Amino acid sequence: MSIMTDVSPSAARRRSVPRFVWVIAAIVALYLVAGVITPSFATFDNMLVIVRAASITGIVAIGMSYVTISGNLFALSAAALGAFLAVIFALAVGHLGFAAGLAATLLVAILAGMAQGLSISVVGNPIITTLAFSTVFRGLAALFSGNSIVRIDSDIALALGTGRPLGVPTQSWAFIALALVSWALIRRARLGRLLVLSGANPQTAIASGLNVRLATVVAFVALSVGVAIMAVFTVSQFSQAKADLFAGYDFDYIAAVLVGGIALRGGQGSPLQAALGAILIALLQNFMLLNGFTAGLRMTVVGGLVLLATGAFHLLQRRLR
Amino acid sequence: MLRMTNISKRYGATEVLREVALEVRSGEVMALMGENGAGKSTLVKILAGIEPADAGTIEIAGEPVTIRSPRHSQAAGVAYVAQELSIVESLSVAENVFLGDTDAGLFRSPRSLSTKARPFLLKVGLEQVDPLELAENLSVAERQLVEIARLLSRKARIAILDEPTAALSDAEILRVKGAVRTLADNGCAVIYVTHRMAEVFELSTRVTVLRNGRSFPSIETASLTVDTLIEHMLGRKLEQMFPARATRMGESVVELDQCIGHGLLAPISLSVRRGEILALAGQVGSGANAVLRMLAGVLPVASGTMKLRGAAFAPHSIADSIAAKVAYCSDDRKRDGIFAVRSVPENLSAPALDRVSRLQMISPVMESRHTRGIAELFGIDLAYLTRLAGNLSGGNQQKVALGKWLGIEPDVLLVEEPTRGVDVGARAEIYRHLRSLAERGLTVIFASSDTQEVLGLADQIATFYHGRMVRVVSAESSTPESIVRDVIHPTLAA
Amino acid sequence: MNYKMSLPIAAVLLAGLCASPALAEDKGVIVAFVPSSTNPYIGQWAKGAQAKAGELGYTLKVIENNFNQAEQDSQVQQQLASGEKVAGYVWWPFENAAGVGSLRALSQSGAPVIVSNQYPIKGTEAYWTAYAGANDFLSGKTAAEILLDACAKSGVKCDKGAIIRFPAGVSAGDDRATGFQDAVKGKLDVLTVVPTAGFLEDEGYKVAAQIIPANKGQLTWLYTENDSLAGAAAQAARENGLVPGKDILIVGGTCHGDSKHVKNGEIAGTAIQSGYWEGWMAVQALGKFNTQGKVQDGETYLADNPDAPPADSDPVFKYNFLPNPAVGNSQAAYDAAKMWGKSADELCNF
Repeated sequence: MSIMTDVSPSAARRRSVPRFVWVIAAIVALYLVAGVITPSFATFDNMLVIVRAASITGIVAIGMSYVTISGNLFALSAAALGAFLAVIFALAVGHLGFAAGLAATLLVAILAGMAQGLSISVVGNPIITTLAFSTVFRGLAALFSGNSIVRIDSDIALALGTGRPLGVPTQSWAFIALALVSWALIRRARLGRLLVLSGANPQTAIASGLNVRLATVVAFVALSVGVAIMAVFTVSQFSQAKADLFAGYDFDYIAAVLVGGIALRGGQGSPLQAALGAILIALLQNFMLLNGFTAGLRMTVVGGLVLLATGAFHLLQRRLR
Repeated sequence: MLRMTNISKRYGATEVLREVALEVRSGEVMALMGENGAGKSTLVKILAGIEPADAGTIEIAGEPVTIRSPRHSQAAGVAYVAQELSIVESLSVAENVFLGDTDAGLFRSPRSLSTKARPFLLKVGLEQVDPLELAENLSVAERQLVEIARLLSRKARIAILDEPTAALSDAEILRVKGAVRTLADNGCAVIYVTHRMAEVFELSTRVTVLRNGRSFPSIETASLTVDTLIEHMLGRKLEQMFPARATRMGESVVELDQCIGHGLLAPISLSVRRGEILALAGQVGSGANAVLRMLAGVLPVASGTMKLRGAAFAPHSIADSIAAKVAYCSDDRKRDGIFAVRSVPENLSAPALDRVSRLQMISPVMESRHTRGIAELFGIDLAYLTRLAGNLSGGNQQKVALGKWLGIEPDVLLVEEPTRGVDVGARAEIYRHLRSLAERGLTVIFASSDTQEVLGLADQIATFYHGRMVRVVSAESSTPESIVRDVIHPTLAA
Repeated sequence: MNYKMSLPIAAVLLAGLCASPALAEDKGVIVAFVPSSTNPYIGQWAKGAQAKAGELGYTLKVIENNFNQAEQDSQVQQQLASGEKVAGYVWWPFENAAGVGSLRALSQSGAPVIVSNQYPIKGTEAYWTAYAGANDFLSGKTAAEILLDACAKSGVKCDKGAIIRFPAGVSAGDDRATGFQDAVKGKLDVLTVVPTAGFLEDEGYKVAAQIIPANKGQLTWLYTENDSLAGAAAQAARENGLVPGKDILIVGGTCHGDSKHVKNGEIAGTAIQSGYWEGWMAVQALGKFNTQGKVQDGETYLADNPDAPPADSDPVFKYNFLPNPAVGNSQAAYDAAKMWGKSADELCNF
């Protein structure tokens, strides 16, 4: 027992490359390769188009990253909640005007997030709980809309949904702002730290006197607010809401989180990674769309990308261990 | 029959075994003894093929063998009964006896299997058990015996029993002892790992002692007394490892009056003063941890009262005890002591987020000051502050797990096994820091199954055995022998 | 199991269960299997079917599945196992091909089976009594005619264009695309056919906002299979500096979604495909068969009389198609458009 050093052999080269750097590298590589193959791809206009396409999915993916980071895997209720909130927003704007409608939507979103977070701390399994909530939300959307299209006629909403300040769509501004704010919140806010620590090791968090239940509730409220923003933008853009909006989109949100390299175990990663993941997927989708890939093939490729990304990040983790 | 020489093994930076030798003859029971962390389990796992050795040779019946997997080990005639039993509950007793035996395929029918199993069950004293009974209906002791019957059926040349009686009552221990004798009488070389003195003297022919990863030449059991065996186990170099004892202590800070909770069989009364370090000495399951857990708010107090700084204290959760400036560190660091995937500063500030944030935002300046303060108090190298806690050595992880509590400026620090999985160098440091904190007025209560640690670090020692507190003595007036007697077998105490 | 039924349907169903057969009014129960009415078009279909069933003296029981063929199959099994005596079935499979087994099982019960909305697969003729519903080839063809007409009228040079179609595997999408392409063969140049991942505005916008800039200066027209997608495509075109109706002609061909893009001329025109009348005519066909007792071979397009629905005394054919009357792209034309006594506004804005 003579040598008592703490430096294990691999520790010296453990200055690991942050995961988001890999995602950015993948985005740049794909952009260059696709630009060579498809000339119309590597233009500034198309770059804007891609960010625009990533925006709506990305806003929810950023919210989803809170859930993943807090150690609750992911929610399967985001799309259904989106439809419900869209209907609520459309109805409320119709009856109360834009500002009140926005406030009502956010209020319902926060309540929906709290309900899910609290249920998960009772049930314990986020997948099953949010699956159940998903049918509840979809059902409520159908009930409230009476299975018909709810139209709104609001100039403010239309401006919000179709405006392009400085030539960039409002959705993209919101996406970028949300990514930066979320990044700062997770890094710097006390609640963000609570979320990260609760996800990193819930037992240690409890043993350190932290409120893990609060972390779960906060994460789901953050997701619900993201979903509300998506719903408000979508309803504003098309001036209408339906109960079957966003059907089948849940995988897209989760895919962005996974492709962004946020560890499913929780306690690691940042919302910025989810945003980058959404951009990477939008980039790939755009490339395939322009090259006439069928929808089935596009789905397969995106699914493959998710597998590839999770596998690669897993290997990366192991190598660094 | 078995000769292991120069076996070495390290986990990362920690050297667990160093040039260890073990030699066992046919028909003898060799007791393998040593304190927690001395390397006993690692040594037998190497022989069983569960862990690979880094260096060393193994000879069985004079032939050198290579053991790299459990299959190699079994082929060489080694049978291993782990602390966690490998009985399949959904199979019959007879099927369990022949579990994994490839020859058993020839007589598949339950009846013939049961006929085949009966003689082996008889030998281990399970004659009253129906071989067709499901294993899930057996008691722990009976399952242990079925495992031994399995060893007999395989005609194992070398049998390893790793603490077979740890979870058994005295009457059950008798039956297991009988079965072990049968094994040896059948010509088997038996390696018997245990903590219990009584079993060593009743069963074994020779004893091999491991201490800090090194082995000592085996000793005939007949030439030993309890005292000489304890001396061998502990060695005689406690002094430089531990800091001086408390010079002054304040008023009583923690008081327990007739407290009882899950894991305790008799009420406990204790009083601990400011600046005092109290050791709760006991083996696993002795009830020492239960006292800490009651104080931490993890374990409800069934009856009795606790006082903190003179006022009634009844925490219902960890958050309650933290609010009362009582900090608790469990013995499972990986589970609830550290955030392995987060950085050291984030670990250190976790219990004290309000002290490093302003307006709900974490201030990097305050957090850095906080972290450095703790690092200084607890001797954490500043170079580690950028690392993830999970990438640190066990000793530094423990410093982080303990040190994070300094952030809340606790009055009482409750620690289970303060140096489990920590190498000797870091141990000495942790002891030194705990003592200097005590000198500043911190009250430390720690539970430990390590006699050296108990004796070296504490001012007062409360010894525990089987859910009861044996006595409270001052460390000054205790000897290793007296402590070990108290926690291993108080009836042997004079 | 997910029987999402709106309250009135449930009430009617309860009434139907309680009613005694002695009542002269009651001609029995019609059971309709359809996907979920959370889709507004299906909701309209159910309303129309309900209205006609009430008028004819039937009780209609609508069993919805949540867009899941396995669920619909098991619903058929349960319905058949109940042994309930029915006046007939209406079958709207979620996945046409996958549902053939259930269709066969229904036909073997002896009750008449009317297939609606999903054009039957060749070779299954023995399993159903008649088809009564939309004709998606016709929808594509009508859209092509609207587009070609608009090209001629507006003087916009129409050559290259793109089709934004429903997701792969949706047979209505296949049929409309085929009907459209057959009709424009030799007249227009189809650059690309891009499938969406859905039927609503958000998907239409997503796809259009990507293919329009990618084919800048080339696209002169877009066919989107419905007006929800068309409206979103018009928005995307405008954002890319193209004025719909001037620089690019967009047609959806079925009124579905916001009519404002038709009324303000951004979409080249539309056609009424009414979910309400499709449900209505499916029940009517069943009623006709139960009264007349026979089916005539061949197909018929029901007349698109603006003021009155077709008479119950008309014969029922093997294939009975819902007409798709075209509607011009102005407020006046839209206001004037009617089908079977209901205005375009009523039929399209649900």
